[in-house]
Formats: sequence, C-alpha cells, structure tokens
Amino acid sequence: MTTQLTAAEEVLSAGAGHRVAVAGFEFNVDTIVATSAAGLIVILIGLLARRGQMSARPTKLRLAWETVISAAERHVGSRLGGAGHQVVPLAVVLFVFVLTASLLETIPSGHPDKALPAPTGDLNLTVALGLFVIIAVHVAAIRARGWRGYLRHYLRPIPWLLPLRVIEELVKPATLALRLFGNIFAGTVMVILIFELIPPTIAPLPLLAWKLFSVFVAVMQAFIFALLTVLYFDAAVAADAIEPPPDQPSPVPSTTGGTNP
Amino acid sequence: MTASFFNLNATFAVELAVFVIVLAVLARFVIRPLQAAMRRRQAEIDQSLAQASRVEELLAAAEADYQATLDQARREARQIIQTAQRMADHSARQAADQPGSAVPVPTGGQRAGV
Repeated sequence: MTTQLTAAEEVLSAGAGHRVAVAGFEFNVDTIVATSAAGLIVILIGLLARRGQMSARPTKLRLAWETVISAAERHVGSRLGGAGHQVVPLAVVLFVFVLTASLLETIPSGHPDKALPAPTGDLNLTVALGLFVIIAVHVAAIRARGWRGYLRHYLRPIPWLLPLRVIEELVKPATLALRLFGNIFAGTVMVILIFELIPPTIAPLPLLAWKLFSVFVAVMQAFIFALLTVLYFDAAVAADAIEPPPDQPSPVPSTTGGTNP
Repeated sequence: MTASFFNLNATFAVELAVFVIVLAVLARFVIRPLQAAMRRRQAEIDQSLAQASRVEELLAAAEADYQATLDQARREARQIIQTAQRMADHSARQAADQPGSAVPVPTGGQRAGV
C-alpha cells in the first residue's frame, strides 16, 4: 500500500521534474533543458542535411528531410495558395521537433527519473505549441478572408450555431495540446508503474516492450499534430471555403483557381 | 510543491521561445533551401524527360528520312540497271544484224548475270 501511494505521488508530478523559482516565476528546469536539447538536435540534424553541394547527389539524411517535406507538401497541396508557403515549414518543424522531443524519453538511463524527460509530457510545451498553431491559423484566416469574411464565417452555415463555432475554435488548441501531452505523459506514467509495481528481475521485459511501443506512439502523435495543423489551416483559408465579397476582388491568389478540375 | 501534472507556469514562455527559434532557424536555413533544391531537381528531371522525347522524335524522323532515301536509291539503281540492260540488248541486236560479224556478242541478260 505504501508502495502504491509513493507511485501515485510520483506519477502525478512525473511531468514536472525539478522546479526553480526565479523572481516569483516558477520554471520546470528539466523540461526547459530537454526542450533545448531537442531543439539543438533537430537544428543540428537539419544543418547536417543541407551541408555540401545542393546540386550534388543527395545524402541519405537529406533524403529523409526531403521525404518529410514532400509529404507535407502533398498534404498541403495547392489548395492553400499563399498560406501553403508558410504551412509546409511549420508542419515539417512540428513533426520533426515533436518526434525528437518525445523520443528523448526512450533513451535508456537505467533509472525511472530519466536523464532527459520527454518535454512533450509537460503541459507547458504542448500548450505553447497548440496556442502557436491556432494563433497562426487565425492570422492566416484573417489574411485570406479579411476581417469581415473572417468574422462572418462564424455565422455559417446558420447564425444561431455561433456559440458552437466559438467553442469549436476554443477546443482546437486544447485538443492539440492535451492529446500530445496525454499520450506522452501516459508513457512516463507507465515507465514509473513498471518500475514500482513489477519485481526488478522481470521489469526490463515489459519495459522494453513499452519503450518500443512508445516509439510508435511518438511517431503517431508527431504525425497527428502536424496533420491536424495542416487540416486547421486548410479549413481556415482553403480556396473553396472563401466566398469573395461582392464589392472587392477575391483575396485568393489567381493561381489557386486552376486547381479546380 | 503540490503533486500535480497540471503544472502550467512560466516554463510556457520559455518553451514557446525555444519553438519559435527552432522554427525560424529550420525554416530559413534548412527547409526553404531543401525545397528550392527539390524544385530545381524536379525541373531538371522534367527538362531531361522533355529532351529525351524530343530526341526520340528526331531519331524517328531521321530513320524515316533514311528509309525514304534508301528506297529512292534502290528505285534509281533498278532503273539504271534496266536502262543499261535495254541499251546492251539493243547494241547486241544491232551487232548481230550487221553481216560479216563472226564474233558472237553476249546478250545483255548474260552480262547482267555475271
């Protein structure tokens, strides 16, 4: 019973790690260190990929990046027009960064209090990412439709659905942030539970199985985060969702007009 | 310290800043250059394919031209041989018609067969 209580306590504070208060503000040091590490790793891998002649035969690392980029370009397609230009880098960076951050946890440290906890298991990172994406989506929507078109779309298809449309917009960042957080945090909780509740002699076996599954979860969650980002942009600025106001020309670039079959 | 996973605090601002930096660096120095390189490569491939099909067309045209020239040459050669044969037959007949000529002149057909 005491073991389970300790486990419960440990589980609840698993995402936070060490905390430091500076000038009245509280910082989760482990999360910041891990996020910076993930950021540095991703930037390093990126700079390594673009090293050398760009016209020469691409290296395997560059091909890996190009695979992600062309996948993002395929999902974005030509429907987004000018906004698509910004969405592809955002989707690619979200996928690579979230994946790297989540995978930090699978590095074995031989201790449940991991050397580097997954920063995606801390609400601070996932909420930051979710808010960033949603603000970018709304900015893109206002740019594409203009203020009037943007505000009017809350009244579609029926004006009295307005409360639901507003709730929908508020829920989007929350689901983005909580889905990623929940999945990765659950992984952390499972590792702690395996250590606490299973005898050390056989603990490595379920731990290995769980860590392998965590890799799959990390890839899945990074993909879902990036894909939902693209879909939100698509819903906000796609050419067919915009009706040009009668008094002014369509804000959609003329290049998107050719995509209709 | 309360034990809770709902620990939103000032870390949020740091995380946001780190992500914005990572996004800016990767977009500017990695993704845009790679996209440009991919587009360049695609353009090169398209150009090569277009060139290949043009070369194929040229080759087909050259082959047709060659065949036509060859056919014409054959026709002309046949005509020349026929004319030569006719002329030979004609002169042989003339020689045979002339009295006092003891030497037999071979016919054009025999000569052509040699």
